[in-house]
Order: sequence, then structure tokens, then C-alpha cells
Amino acid sequence: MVAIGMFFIAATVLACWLRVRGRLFEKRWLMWVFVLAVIPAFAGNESGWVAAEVGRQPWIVYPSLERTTEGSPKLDEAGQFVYDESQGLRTSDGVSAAVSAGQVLGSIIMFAAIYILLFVIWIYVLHQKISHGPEPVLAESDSTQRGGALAAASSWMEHHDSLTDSQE
Amino acid sequence: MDYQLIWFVLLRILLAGYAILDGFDLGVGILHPLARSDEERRLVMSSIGPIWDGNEVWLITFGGALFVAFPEAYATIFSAFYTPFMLLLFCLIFRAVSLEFRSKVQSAVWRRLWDFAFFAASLVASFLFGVTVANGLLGIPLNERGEFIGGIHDLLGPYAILVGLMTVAMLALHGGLFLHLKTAGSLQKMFYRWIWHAWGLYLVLWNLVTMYTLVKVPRATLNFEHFPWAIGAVVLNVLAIANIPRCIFLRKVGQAFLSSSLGILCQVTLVGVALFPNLVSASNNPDYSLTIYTAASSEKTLGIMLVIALIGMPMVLSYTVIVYWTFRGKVSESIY
Repeated sequence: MVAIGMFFIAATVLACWLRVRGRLFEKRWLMWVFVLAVIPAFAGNESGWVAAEVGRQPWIVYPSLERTTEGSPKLDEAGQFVYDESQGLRTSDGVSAAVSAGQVLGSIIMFAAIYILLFVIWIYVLHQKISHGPEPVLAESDSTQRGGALAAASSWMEHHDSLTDSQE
Repeated sequence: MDYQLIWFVLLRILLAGYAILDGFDLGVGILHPLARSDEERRLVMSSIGPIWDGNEVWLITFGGALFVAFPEAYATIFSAFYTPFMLLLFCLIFRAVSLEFRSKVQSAVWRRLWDFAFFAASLVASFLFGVTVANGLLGIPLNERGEFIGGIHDLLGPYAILVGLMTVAMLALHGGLFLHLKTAGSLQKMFYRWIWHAWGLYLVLWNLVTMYTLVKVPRATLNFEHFPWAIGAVVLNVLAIANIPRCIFLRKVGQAFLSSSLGILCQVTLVGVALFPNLVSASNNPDYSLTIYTAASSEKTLGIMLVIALIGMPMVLSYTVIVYWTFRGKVSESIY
């Protein structure tokens, strides 16, 4: 996750430098790096999530640490933080008693199936859109004739396409 | 009025707002297959296109407010209804996706698949909402820690199924009235016929549910002693349902839609009165029920939440008014 982040910073700095020199769009290999960078972007995102979830085990809610008068955390003889167990919530105590493992497995399978299906559909639709290419932009219609604050507010959002449609 | 009571009332308002607003777009989904041609189906979807997701915010806010204000009740409800709520999420996801993806590919098979997904998801979601409310009214078996000790079969009794069917009919009528307001010409004529069918079906099911409730669910009317004004909600509910055919006959469909909304508001209120002061009723032992006092967060949390609600609600109301104002009148462009 950290390495991916550093890599993105380096790639962006390099691209900015090349842009200033006006040679960015000649570097085909760098363009390909940015196309493929979609994958590590997601990987970084997901591994950050996993790090947060796994890293806080066995706690769902951390107990607050006991602190010295200067404000730094107290340590016991073994060098461990000192805390009051009753102030936190362990994952094993937080787990729902009424939900069976089978139900949880069922929901994980359901969500996995939904996301895989939607991913495939998304790739299909995206491929169609990109092969089709953009359409010429039409002139904006004049929508400043009605008065009033409500009409002004509504004219702001008077676009008839969703965000995904605007590039059609 | 203490914080717990204020939050109980606010949650009911959020639920009523959700039932009325998302109610009609779920109903639009149920009636969607009645439109035959591709162009008509696009118009039906476009009638709710700009507003359905705003309507669903009410459900998310309800869930979030329940989580913060009454965490114990949230934990019990979401664990007890784990499987039906997962099914509900499945439906709500595919409803949203079918609206977005339907128009993206020019293919009859593609569009028919998304049409089916939109219809089935709306139908099953409406049914599940009814089932959940019915189980809330009946109560569910809990242990002394407020944990659900029943199984999925406890949630699908005859009463739950009956209320689920009534909800489908009610929302189909509600959605039909909305579509009549939003369409014109032959499409509008077709929905005019189906409003009558939906109203007839709703009337039959509403009567069955009312009789069943009065006979088998004694707690439904027990609280009328403490809250005599609740009788007024019963009378208003009956009047609202009776006013719908009069308005449809006179072609005052806007008024019929308002009556239908009022009927839904009355029913949500009556369920709230029946439950009070419980959030979750234990069917096996009343002592195990989660009340608004035993399940609430600290006073400080409820106070902070109230400030946030008072800031947030005017914002939600104003964007809702702006969106409905912007997309007022008949739907003429098909964007879906």
C-alpha cells in the first residue's frame, strides 16, 4: 500500500516534469504505465482497508490507554500498553449471537456474486462506450428566462443526463 | 418530552417519509411491465429517474438514526432480520442498477432482462417491507439479553405474508396514481384502468389485514387507552382510502395521490402507537422487550444527534423541494 502510494507520487512528479518540458505525450511507455495504474490504485485501496481491519484485532472498539501525567501512554514491565479491558469491545464479544455462520457465508457469497456480475457488465458497457467514441457536444439551451430563487436553483441542475451519460 | 420520545417520533417521521416517497417509486417498478413498448417503458422509468435515489435517502437516514439513537434495538433488529435484509439489499441494488444500465445497450434481450430485474426487485422489496412491519407488530422471540432466538421460519407466518401482499397492492396503487400524474395519452389511459384494479385489490387486502390484526394482534389497539387521538388516525385512514375512488372517478388524481399518502402516514403512525414504548417487542416474554428507554444511547448522544437533525432536516427538505420542482409536470423525455 505504501509502496504503491510512493510509486504514484513518483510517476506523477515525472509526468509533471515531462509536461513542463512539453514531451509528456511522446512517452508512450509512460502513457501505458498510467493505463495499467488503475490496478494498483484499487489494490492500494483494498490493502489499506485490510490493514485497518486486521490491524485492530482483537478489538472492535479500542479501550483508551492509561496515560502518565505528561500525556504519554503508560507501559508495564513487559513494555506493553496499559488499558482497562472493560473500556473496549473485543471482536469475540461484539459478534452477533443471532446470526449463524451459514447466514454470514450466504451473504458473502451473495455480495461476491453481485460484484463479479456487475464488474463483468461494467467492463462490457465500458468497452462499448469507448469503442463507440464521444458524440459532438450540442449547444446549451437558454434556461435563464424564469425568475425566482427556486427557478435559479433548478436551472443549475437542469442537465438531463446522469454523470455516466454526459460523455456519450 | 424527553430525548428518547423525541427520537421515537423522529424515527416514525423518517419511516413515514420513506414509505410515502420511495413507496410510489417502488409502485412504479411494480407497474413497469404494464407498459408494453420500449418507448413507454423508458417514460415510466424516467418519471422516477431524477427522484428515486433521493427518496431512498430516507431509509438510510432511518437506519443511521436507529443505530445512533437506539443501538440495542438496531443490533437486535438487524441480526434477527439478517437474511430478509440481505435479500432486501439484493433487491435495492438491482433496482438501482437496472435503472442505470437499461438504456446503455441497444438490444431487446438486454433491455428485457433489466426490465425484469426492475420489476422483480421492486415487487420483492415492497413485500419484504410489509413482512418486516408485520413481524415488528407481532413481536419476535428474544432472550433476556435482547438477542433474537427464533429462526427464519418465525418471520414468514400467515400474518406477515398477508401484510406483505397488502403492502405490494398499496404501493402499486400509490405508484399508479403517480404514473397517472406523470404520463399522458394512451399510456395514461392504461394506468387509469390499472389504478382501479390496484385500489380494488388493496381494499380487499386492507380489510383482511385489519380483521386479522383486530382478532389476532391484541396489542395493536391496546395503546388506544393511553392515546385516544389514535382513533382519529384510524378514522383518517378509512376516509383517505375511501376518498381515492371518488377522486379517481372525478379525475382529481393529484388529490387521490395525497389521500394515498395520508393513508400511508396514518398506517405508519398506528403501528408506532401500537409499538410504543417498545422498539422491539418480545413475543415470548414482555419483560425482554426493548423499549425506547432500555435501548437508547446516552442523553448526551441523543442531544448531539438532535442538533445534527435540526441542521440536516432543512437541507434535505430544501433539496427535495428543488428536485421535485425542477422535474414537475408530465415526463416527456425518456432518459432511461
